[in-house]
Amino acid sequence: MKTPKTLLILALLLSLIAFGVPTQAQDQPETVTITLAAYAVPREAYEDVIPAFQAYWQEKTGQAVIVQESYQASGAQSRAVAGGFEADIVALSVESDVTRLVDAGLITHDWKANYNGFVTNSVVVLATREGNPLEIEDWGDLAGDVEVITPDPATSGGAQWNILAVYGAARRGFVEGYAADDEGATEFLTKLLKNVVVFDRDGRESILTFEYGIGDVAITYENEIYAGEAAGSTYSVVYPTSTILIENPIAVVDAYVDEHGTREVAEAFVAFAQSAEAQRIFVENGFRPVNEDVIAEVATDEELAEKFPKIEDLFTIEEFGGWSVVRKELFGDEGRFTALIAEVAGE
Amino acid sequence: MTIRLDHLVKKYGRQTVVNDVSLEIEQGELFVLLGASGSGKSTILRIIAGLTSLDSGSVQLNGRDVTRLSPQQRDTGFVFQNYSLFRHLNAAANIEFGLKVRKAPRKERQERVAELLRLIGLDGLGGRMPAQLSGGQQQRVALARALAPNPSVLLLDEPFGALDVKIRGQLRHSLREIQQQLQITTILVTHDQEEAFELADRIGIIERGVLLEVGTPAQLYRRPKHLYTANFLGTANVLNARRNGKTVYVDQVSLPAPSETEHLQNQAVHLVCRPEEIDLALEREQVSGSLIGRGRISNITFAGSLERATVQLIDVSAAKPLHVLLSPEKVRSLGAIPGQEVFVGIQDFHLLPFQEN
Amino acid sequence: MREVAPKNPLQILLILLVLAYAAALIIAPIYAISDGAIERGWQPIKDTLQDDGVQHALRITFEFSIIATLLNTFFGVIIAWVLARQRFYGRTLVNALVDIPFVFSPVIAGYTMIVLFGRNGWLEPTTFAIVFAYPGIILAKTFVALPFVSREVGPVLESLPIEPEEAAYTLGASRWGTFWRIVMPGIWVGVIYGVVLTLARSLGEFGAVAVVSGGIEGKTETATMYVYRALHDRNRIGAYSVSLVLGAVSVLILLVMSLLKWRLDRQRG
Repeated sequence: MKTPKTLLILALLLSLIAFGVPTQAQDQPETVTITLAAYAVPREAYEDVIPAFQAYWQEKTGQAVIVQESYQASGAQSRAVAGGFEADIVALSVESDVTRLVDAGLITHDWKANYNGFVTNSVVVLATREGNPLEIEDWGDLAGDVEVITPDPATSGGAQWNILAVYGAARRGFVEGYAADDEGATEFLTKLLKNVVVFDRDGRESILTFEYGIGDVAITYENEIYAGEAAGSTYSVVYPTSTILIENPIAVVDAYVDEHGTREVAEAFVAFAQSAEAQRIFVENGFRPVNEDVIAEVATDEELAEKFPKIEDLFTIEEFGGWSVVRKELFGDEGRFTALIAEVAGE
Repeated sequence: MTIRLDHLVKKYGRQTVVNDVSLEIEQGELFVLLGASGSGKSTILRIIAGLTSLDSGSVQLNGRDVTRLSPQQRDTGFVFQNYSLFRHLNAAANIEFGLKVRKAPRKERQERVAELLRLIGLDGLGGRMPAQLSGGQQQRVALARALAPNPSVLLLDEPFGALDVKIRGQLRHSLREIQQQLQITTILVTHDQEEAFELADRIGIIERGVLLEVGTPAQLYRRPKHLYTANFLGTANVLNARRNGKTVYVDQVSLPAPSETEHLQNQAVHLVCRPEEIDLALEREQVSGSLIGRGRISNITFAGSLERATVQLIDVSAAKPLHVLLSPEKVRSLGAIPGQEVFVGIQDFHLLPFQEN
Repeated sequence: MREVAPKNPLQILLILLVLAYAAALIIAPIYAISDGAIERGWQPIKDTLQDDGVQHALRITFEFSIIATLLNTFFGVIIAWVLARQRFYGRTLVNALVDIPFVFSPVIAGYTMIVLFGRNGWLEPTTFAIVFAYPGIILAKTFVALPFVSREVGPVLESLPIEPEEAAYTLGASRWGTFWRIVMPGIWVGVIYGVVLTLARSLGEFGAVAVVSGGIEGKTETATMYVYRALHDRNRIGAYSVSLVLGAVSVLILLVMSLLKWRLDRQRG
């Protein structure tokens, strides 16, 4: 029985040798490494933002920065960081995912000091098949005889934007045939949810499902439309009369930067992401800017103004009393929307 | 003393499978532990080999207390009922195993394997895999494997149980020869009394974990100390009786008491008599042995060289039918037919203290 | 040699059914992935496989899967042996516990690891990180594939008589020696199948690893995580290329192990 024994030992040795080889050069004093934990969607944008930051930091301090990147669904990323994934910076989809880190004691500074803590904006829109064959014009059409795609708010923090957009638009009186109050909005939301054919795990999966040919209309985000079009997909986008402004937060994780001694560079990264230079990159990638200079640029540039059309009735999370309320009363374990979705999905 | 067992006790839960067994076995002796299945005889063997732990008592081999030693340290050879050869090794490698473990030099190992193959009569078959050997051949290899490291004690657990009758006879014969040639102290466990009689220097009778008695085959057959032994070894006719003075009374019939049963004076006893010790005759005067009265033949069956008859005693009430072995000549002289009345004599019998059941 | 009996129509139908089932469930996806990968020729595949991040992902995936398989083989065989040969209190419980990775969702297993070894976890290590580092990935891969070897070896071991082992003891062989020289030759086939399944499962593991690795590109991102992310990024060729490598390696493992089994069978005669 020589052969299997020898094989086993050989395999063990091989793996140990391979394992023992350092996979990365050790940090030299003139190099600093930071880890960015982001949600999946802005990856293409960060691929341009990061080199720009590296050049900026090198010039400013003479130090080379290595940025380690991790992209996962916002909620999963937030839980990982809370569980010990030592990211220096988090860039997430919804504010409540950052709040979790504040509650965990990992973020201790006033992270909302600049731009309210946000790095990009977007709006909830509708993607229809090319040429909009069903002539979908606004939210109201989604309660008719159509198949709707939207991600599952239970797993995707970002998916909660969609539900809020639908509910908010109805409650503000922008969906015909439904009372402009909680009751009418709930009725409309229920009807719409019954038309949902697939609840995907996250926003990107949801639009991919739509691209594979399932459903008539996808509730998605403006930046997703631009990302899809950049990759060669074609849809007809429909801007609802009333929709919610998506605000994506970014923050330095105090506990980890202090542990790593990377506070200075991490804070610089966040500031850079909110600077005009980086904001222009985000705009190129289909995000709406938070930086006032770039907002002004977009408003005056004809082409960009068309890229980000003005929404007739744009409301924010404050419509619902902010994320702390939304997280608890609407999407919490005993929240109203959680119960409603469970009820509809259960049928 | 090669093997000395002192007050062995083994329990499985509430059940005592070995109950206070003590035994001494001489150098070179072939000792047979005989008992029904489930009597605990195999457990005793496994305790000696160290394969089963014991609850109390001690085991000594060659004057060495091995009670706390592992099987590896006991220097015993063990042969199992189902051969239990190493399936992936050929016959020679099986035999060689114990020598290899002991790191014996290669040359010595080869010589020893060849010697053992000759001893068990499988010269030239060392290259065969177990699957290519018959059951009898496999058991021979198993024996050789156990003997290879020259153990001080050979233990065999029902070694012929899985073989057919003819092969069994041949193997018994070989075993006896090899055992005598090597003068190795041996314990063999079996439930087969014929096997025990043929092989044993001495036999130990085990019943429900208790070692009832030990003796030579003839002692145990003719003068058992327990009714169980009498019944277990061959057929025994048992009559209720009472010993008084120099006489044994069976119901109204009186017989002269054997002298060695003095200690059962004035007691209820069992009269035990083997079928071949009973004589039948047409006339009272022709009966040999002590007359026990008249009987009626109820059944005769052909049993090869002898015929087996059952006789219901007429002068003894409440007696079970007697089993009798008759020579063909006797059958002819009696002209025996069922229903015939005969006189019954007992040539040799034995008394045992009375016990219920 | 088995005789090939003439077949009746029902048998033929059944055989066709099995073939069609295998084609639909195994061959079609493999074809689709291969087709998808070479959609734009070999160059994009080459580019993908030459990418540092992809190479690193493949490397850690293979290395860690091998380590997980070695651990599971070693402990799996011991577990099977203990369960088959030893009688002790709690044996039934241990027997049931071994199967937990099969009934546990890998994602939940991953979160459990975070709860145990993560920040403020019960067993949070002080000197080095387990979760969101290499040890966590190895542990996750090990956990999800834990039952295979013991479950493959167990029945084989149970079917083997105990007497040859006891005979070896009385012949002076130690427990370890007996295990290696007497038990192992009888269970190799089970071990081989267990290893194949363990390795395949470890290579393909996604759910638990995704949760505990942190997924840093070029560092803690495994091949399956890369595939998932590539699909997300609409990089289908990237996803298919890496899938193809993983699939090819799995098939290769299966072939090597089948060959090994065939050789063992022949040795045994």
